[in-house]
Amino acid sequence: MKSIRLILGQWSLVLLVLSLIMPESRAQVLAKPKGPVVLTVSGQISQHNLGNTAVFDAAMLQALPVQELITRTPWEKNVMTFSGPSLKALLHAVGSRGKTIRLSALDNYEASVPMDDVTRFDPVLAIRVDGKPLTIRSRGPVRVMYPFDHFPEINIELYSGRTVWQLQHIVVE
Amino acid sequence: MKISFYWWVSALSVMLAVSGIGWFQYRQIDQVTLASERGRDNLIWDFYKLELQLANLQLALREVQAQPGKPAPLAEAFNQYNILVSQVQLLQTLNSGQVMHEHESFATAMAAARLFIDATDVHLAALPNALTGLVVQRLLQSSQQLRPPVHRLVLDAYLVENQRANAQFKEIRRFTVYYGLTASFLIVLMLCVGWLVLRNLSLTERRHLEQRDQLREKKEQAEAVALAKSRFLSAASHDLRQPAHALGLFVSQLTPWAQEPQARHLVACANAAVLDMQNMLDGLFDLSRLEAATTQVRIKTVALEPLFEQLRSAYGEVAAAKGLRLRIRPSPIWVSSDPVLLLRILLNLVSNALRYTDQGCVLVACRPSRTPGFVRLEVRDSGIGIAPENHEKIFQEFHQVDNPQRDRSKGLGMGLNIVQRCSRLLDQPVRVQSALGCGARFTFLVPSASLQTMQAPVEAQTEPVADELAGQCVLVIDDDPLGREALAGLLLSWGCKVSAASDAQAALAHCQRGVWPDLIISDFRIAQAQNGVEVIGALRALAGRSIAACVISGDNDALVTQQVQSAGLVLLAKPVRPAKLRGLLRNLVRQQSH
Repeated sequence: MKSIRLILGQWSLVLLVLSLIMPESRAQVLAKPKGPVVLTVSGQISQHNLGNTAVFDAAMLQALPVQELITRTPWEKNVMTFSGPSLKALLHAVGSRGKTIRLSALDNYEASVPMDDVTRFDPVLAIRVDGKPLTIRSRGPVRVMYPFDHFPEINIELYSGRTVWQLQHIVVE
Repeated sequence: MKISFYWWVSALSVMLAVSGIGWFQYRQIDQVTLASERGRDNLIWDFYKLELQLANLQLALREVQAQPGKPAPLAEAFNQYNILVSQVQLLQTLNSGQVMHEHESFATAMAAARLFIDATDVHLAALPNALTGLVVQRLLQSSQQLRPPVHRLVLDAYLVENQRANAQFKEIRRFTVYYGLTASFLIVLMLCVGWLVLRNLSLTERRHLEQRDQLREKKEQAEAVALAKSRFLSAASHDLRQPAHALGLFVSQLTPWAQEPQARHLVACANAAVLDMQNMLDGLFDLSRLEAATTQVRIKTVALEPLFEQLRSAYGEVAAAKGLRLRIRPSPIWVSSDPVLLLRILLNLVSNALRYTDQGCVLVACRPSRTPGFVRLEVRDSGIGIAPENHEKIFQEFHQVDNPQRDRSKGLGMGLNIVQRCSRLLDQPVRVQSALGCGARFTFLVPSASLQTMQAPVEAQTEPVADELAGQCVLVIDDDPLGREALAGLLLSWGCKVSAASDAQAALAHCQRGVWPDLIISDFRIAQAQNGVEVIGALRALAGRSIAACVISGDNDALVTQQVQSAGLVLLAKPVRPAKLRGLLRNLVRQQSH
């Protein structure tokens, strides 16, 4: 029994170490998108898979560490569950070295987000809302979401302006 | 109390005004901030985006029309259409949309948008492989039909937003006016309160000054009355002094002449009566002198025992005559005090105790005190005692217990008043403990002398003196014939050669005749302008040497004392006791011969 427990302990240690190394290793190899591209990242990044840019299809986004964010928004009345990779995880995946990121939407709306926001509020790049995949009609396919309920101080114009929907392109500056 | 009340009111009003202004300022900033916030959260933006998106869709459709069969423009048109749909959906849930809900243009535009979406969804709900030119044409047409209601909606939103902003600014303006008015009102209020407070303060101060003036006036009146009284006392004592002085001298001369026992008895009685009178006069002089506040306190290191010895010799016989025991405990203590005042206090206390005691004893003692650095002097008697309600009164002038007839033999009732005045000068109150029939105890504290300041007691001069006065030439200058004659007679009886002069000129004339005196005794105040001190000075100058001299005066003026002392002369107060005069003259002669 003791030896089994010991072995389990060793394995868990190995897994822990692996989990620490894994993101690094994933960042090193960025796969090519198989489906239609939903998000393009360019600028100060070290990982590329299409010219100078990193492009993602829905499956690649889903493969990143996914996070659930349950919050109200300034636009909807109900509490909603947003799920998708965190912006932090995506920027890590593309090896971002910038200070700010510029988010632009399908309708050419643009917003600039300081890197400080990413570390402090950890916004989510939602690709599903309440379990359903986002479409352009439901302001997808990628929608940035800040945790408005967790930080009451961000319920102001400044942050709702940075909460870009129909996100198409991220430029790291 | 009143001042502090007004201070509170003014402080409160200032605080109120400041906080009021502060609150208004805060509200104003709040309002402006709110207005600008709302300005940013602009209605028009959401509606304008709708119209813009419609234009984007039309642009994309035209691209599809221009490049039929190509997938990229088709995908773009599909995207733009879906964005438009999402925007229409959003407008129905947004707050800004809700503001427009009741406007007809909103309903119309939304209805038109729904119609357009229903028609277009047939072709663009999902990304189609291809669209025929006809379909694209129809989609363009229906989108063109959607434009006027959307445009009207945008204009309407602009109008509403404008009205809202106007209302906002009107509100701010109104608020600013209110703020200004209220702030000025508060400031005026503050100034008013400040003015009131200042006025009240000045009023209070004026009243205070008036009160002070009144008080001063009253005090001056009281002082004038007191001054008049002491002047009267001084004048009376001065006038009484001359005959008392002469009488004393005459009676003392009478003594050797009375040979028969009866005559001797009479002379002795007269002498005693004169002594009594002189003692009373002394009391009066003491009082008037203390009242004139000319007494200076001269603190010295004093042995108590010599003072006690004087008490014994002064009152031993009186006590014995009354059948009382006068016990004065010998004491080795030295104190730091004015010996004259101290003795005066003790003399008066003992005299008082003897007067009011019919049997038993009077005890004088010095005891250690609880106050460090002090000893307690105590005069205790077994007399009639003093009722507690009279403890204050006994120190008043001329107050006497149990003497409504004002029997003169019981004295004038000044003793304790003198005691109190002296003790005030020494800064130590005299305390009284007594009840009716239980005797009385008077105590007062005296600072004990430290060892360093102690001096060896001056050896009393015990050497028997030959009568140096015999054969001395004495010049008596006095303008009062009675006093002059009495003094001359006394001096003659002591074996002196006496010459008398009534004024300065007579004295000078006498000396110029070549008869130089060994001693000069002059009254201070003599006829003509010169006083005793000046006459003595003139005679000394004439003689070219320092002739022994002393001055006798009935004035208890500080000025006189000062003048005489500064001339280096001895001052004797009238009435002069023969024994004292004799002692003084002996001393002077002795000094002269050394």
